[in-house]
Amino acid sequence: MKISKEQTIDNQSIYKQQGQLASVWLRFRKNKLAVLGLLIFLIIVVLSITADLWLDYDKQAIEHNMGIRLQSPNSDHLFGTDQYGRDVFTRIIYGTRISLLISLLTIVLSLVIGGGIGAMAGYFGGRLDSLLMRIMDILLSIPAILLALTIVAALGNGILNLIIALTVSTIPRFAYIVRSTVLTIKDQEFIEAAKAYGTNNIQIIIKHIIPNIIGPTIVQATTNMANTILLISSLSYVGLGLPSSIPEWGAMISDAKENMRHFAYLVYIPGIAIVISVMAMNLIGDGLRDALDPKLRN
Amino acid sequence: MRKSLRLFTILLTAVLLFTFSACGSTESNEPEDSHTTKSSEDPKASEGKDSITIAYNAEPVSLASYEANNLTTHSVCSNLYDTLIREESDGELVPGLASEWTYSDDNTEIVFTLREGIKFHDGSEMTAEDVVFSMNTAIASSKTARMTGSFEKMEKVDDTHVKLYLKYPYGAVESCLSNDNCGIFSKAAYEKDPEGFTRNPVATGPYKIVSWTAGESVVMEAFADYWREPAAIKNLIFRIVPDASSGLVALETGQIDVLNLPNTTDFDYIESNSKLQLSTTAANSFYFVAFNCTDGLFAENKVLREVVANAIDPEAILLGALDGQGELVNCAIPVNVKFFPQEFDGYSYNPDYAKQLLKESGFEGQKIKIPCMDVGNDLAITEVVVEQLKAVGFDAEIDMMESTAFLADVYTNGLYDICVNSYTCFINDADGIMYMRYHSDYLGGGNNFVMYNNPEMDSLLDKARSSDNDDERALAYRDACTLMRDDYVLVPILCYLNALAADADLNGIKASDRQRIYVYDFSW
Amino acid sequence: MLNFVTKRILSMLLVVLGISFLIFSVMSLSPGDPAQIILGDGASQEDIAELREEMGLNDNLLVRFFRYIWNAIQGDLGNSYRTGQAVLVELLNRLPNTVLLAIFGVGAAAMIGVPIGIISAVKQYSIIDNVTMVLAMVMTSIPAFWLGLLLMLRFALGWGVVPAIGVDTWQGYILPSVTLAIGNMAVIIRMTRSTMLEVFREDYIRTARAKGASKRSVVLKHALRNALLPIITTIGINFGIQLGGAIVVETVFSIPGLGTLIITSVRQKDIPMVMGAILFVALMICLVTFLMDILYTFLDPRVKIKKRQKQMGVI
Repeated sequence: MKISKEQTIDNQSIYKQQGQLASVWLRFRKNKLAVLGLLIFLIIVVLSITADLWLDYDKQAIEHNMGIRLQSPNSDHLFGTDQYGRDVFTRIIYGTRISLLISLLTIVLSLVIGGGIGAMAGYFGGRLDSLLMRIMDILLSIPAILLALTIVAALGNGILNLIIALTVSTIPRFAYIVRSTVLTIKDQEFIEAAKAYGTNNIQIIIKHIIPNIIGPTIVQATTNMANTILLISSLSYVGLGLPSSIPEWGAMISDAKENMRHFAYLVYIPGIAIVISVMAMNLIGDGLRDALDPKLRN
Repeated sequence: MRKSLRLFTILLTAVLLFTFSACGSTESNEPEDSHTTKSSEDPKASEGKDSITIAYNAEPVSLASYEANNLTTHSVCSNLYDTLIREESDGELVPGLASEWTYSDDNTEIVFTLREGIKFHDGSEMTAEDVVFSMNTAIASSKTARMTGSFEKMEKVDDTHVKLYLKYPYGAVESCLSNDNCGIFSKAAYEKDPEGFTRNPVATGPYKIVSWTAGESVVMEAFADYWREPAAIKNLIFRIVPDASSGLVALETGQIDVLNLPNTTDFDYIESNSKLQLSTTAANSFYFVAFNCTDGLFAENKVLREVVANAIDPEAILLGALDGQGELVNCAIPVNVKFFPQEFDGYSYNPDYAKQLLKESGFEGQKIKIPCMDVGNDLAITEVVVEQLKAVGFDAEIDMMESTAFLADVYTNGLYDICVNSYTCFINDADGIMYMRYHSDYLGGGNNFVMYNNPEMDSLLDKARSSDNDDERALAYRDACTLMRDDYVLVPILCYLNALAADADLNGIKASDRQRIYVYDFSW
Repeated sequence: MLNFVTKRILSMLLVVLGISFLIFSVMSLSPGDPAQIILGDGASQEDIAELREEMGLNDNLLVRFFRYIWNAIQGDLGNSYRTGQAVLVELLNRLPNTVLLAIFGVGAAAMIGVPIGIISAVKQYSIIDNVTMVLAMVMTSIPAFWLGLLLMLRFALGWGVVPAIGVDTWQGYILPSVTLAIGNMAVIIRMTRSTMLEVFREDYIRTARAKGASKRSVVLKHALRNALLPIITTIGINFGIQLGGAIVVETVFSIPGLGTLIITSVRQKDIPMVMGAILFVALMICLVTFLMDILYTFLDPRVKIKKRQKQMGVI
């Protein structure tokens, strides 16, 4: 791999952070599959944000229209209609919103809580570290679906409870990520220097820790989005998920489970949407991991 | 180079996927000769003539007659136990273990004449003591309150007669006595092992228990010394199959012979498949929109209840939530229950009138929440109801509640204005679904949770309950339904269907309004 | 070494205790009244209050938790609200089916996934590599119940070579295991591939090649042997994921295992059963992770025990 002059100089320049980001992006860009993934993801985000401009949520996605129920894909309804006469295409597009929202919320919450825990554990070390990480181990030992079932068993179905379950499952991962970053940086000399100089702790955190955790965080986030969708789908299948009016892909699939044999498109279409999104997420994640991997820099 | 590789790869994968799954779905539209050979290696599958495998989606709670309190348990137990009075599949009540019975003048005492020579599954003979013990155990059990609520106690009169004391004259008593809660079992067997009795009952029914593998199956075999003709099918296996789609596939491969409650979306397919048969009937349960008639928005504004009654389109609900597989009902008694008033004038769907009425009422448009339980049908039905209420101008929202929370808040404590729920009638008599639900004696606490308090209703229900004249009772129930309609107590919607899908070679397959699968009636 | 093992066992037990407390606390947030659930709708308020007293439901959380643990150690996990039977008995009845399913699932996933991963690594960036990567991603995104039904339609109904539901015979395990395996194979494939790739870059591989070893022996003898350890530990950890995924697969194929038990119990608010079942599963996962840990340490002489202990935060 050719090393450009700019890259060499960048690593030594005082604009270190800017250079790091740029070099990561350059490496990422070379990975065509990863770029494809990013493209798909951006399309999803754009669709989700602009949906209201060109689709009528209430009329097509929510309102029941018995007269046109269970139509295979046709010219009026690109993806057909479901058992209540709702337009599947509209619901797929709005489904991006729900998936993104739930995943985003979960990630942010887990990052803040888990990151906070990890930072404390790494920074203060000792007994606190042991205690906190032991608790994190406990959370890691329970598969997300079991935790979700526990919470559903106790508190019932619904978006809020699902978000709680997913957040709790993801917290330990962020705790580990942040903790290991903190540990790596903690003893380095420039921290001592910065402290001696008078920079307070918060500035240290922002300047040094955050850039280092962005990469692993995004990687984790991509895995998470995929798992969220699949988890909701599994829970809905066994009857413990979301009400059918909410256009979430996973829920749409298990809603259609009774119609699976005779109206297979009701399962295919959300299924393919899931596959494409999950693939995009994973491609981004893989590409990012490769781009960040120091071993691949040569 | 990589670009084209990637594209090619994705295309290849897509093609593979579609071919694979397309094969799966198109083939299902043509019922092939799918009775394939696999049963020879499978000891538990039916081998044609001498055994039958029936799939349920839940397990019985217990095999003890005095503990049965849900439909699955009742159904399984009905094959193990006999009762003093038996209910035939067409609803007629005929002598069972008792050959005849007489009432006292005030109808609070019944003397039964017991048949003789009836054997228990373990070979011992049934005596009057066994009957008395069984009945008193049932009366004492808290799980049989629905059936034994009116029973005081039973006493032995002599070796062939027993007397049942009632707390009050009760028109539906024979129906209650025919329920498997009042099944007769061996006192000696129970006393030998009361704990184990729930898994190894000894009774007089056409089948006796062989084994119960938790979560998997209950295996029974025909009782050779049954006091009537022994059952036609020797081996009976109740199998637990949680998913109805899988169940249908298993039915088609011959791994099971009868499927209880197939998916409504599969009905057409089953009927068109010559290897299968389908039997349906309206369940003894009905869904409704209920109002809190004592506290809250709908209690204070009767006109709002009228709006709702005109805003509900039961046909659309039936179609959307149940694929049209159900029966509409326009009064508070399910269509198959005795004393269902024929040709009753219920509510009609008038959305325009509802809209107008709502506007005129000056209703401020506050948000109304409609709680429902977070289980399949309830949820689906409520979603359609919410849509229909929104269409006439309510700002309605669904409030999906976890079922015990629903039971606690709505049922027991009445913390709601409007909700969607269902009732089931466990006996073939309107009293089972009317009395405790609308009588002021039972206000709140989980029975009369609509909080309906009307002395006129009370007297109608009392009269209907205590009379022994069927015509009088029918009239009283009709009047009660009319009263409920005019008072807008609740808006009845539909009865779902109980369906049985079965191998076409089976005879006697008939769906039951209480999901009772009485295998004695079946034969190959 | 023994000291290390003991320390790890203690660690594991602490984790299990933690999990129990977590689940117990969450369950106690449940709104339903257990006494009312047991007695059913017809029961009177006095009966309910009496039962609550009897069951000790009015004590505080910690007291109830430790009482539960104390009983659990003696083998009493409580009785089901639904049937009144002992929870432990039911769990032990169901356990073998789920464990077998998980083992077959892992086995199938490993038998197919590891070779694919190796080939992918050897032929990096080739068309085979791309196909497998894409397929692996697709496989993780297919909902298990859909896949299960499709397989059932084709193999049980269409060709009639396996039973549709249940595990009465060993053939009954085929479809569920495959369904489970396909869902989780991707992780094994990718892990194998990336581990092999990492190993390929190591110096000793270059040495072997320089010494003239054939490609095949390089891959199988030198690389695989060193890659095997992390691969095996991944497979072991995957076992835990299999247990989670088994829940849906069991429902589809009507297998009477822990998964269907958990679902039914959750639906019916049978708290002791849910608690016991989830605890069982968590315990098994901890056990497997623990065994993998020991295995890794035992088999890999390069890893110093002290270093491991430090990382785990034991000392």
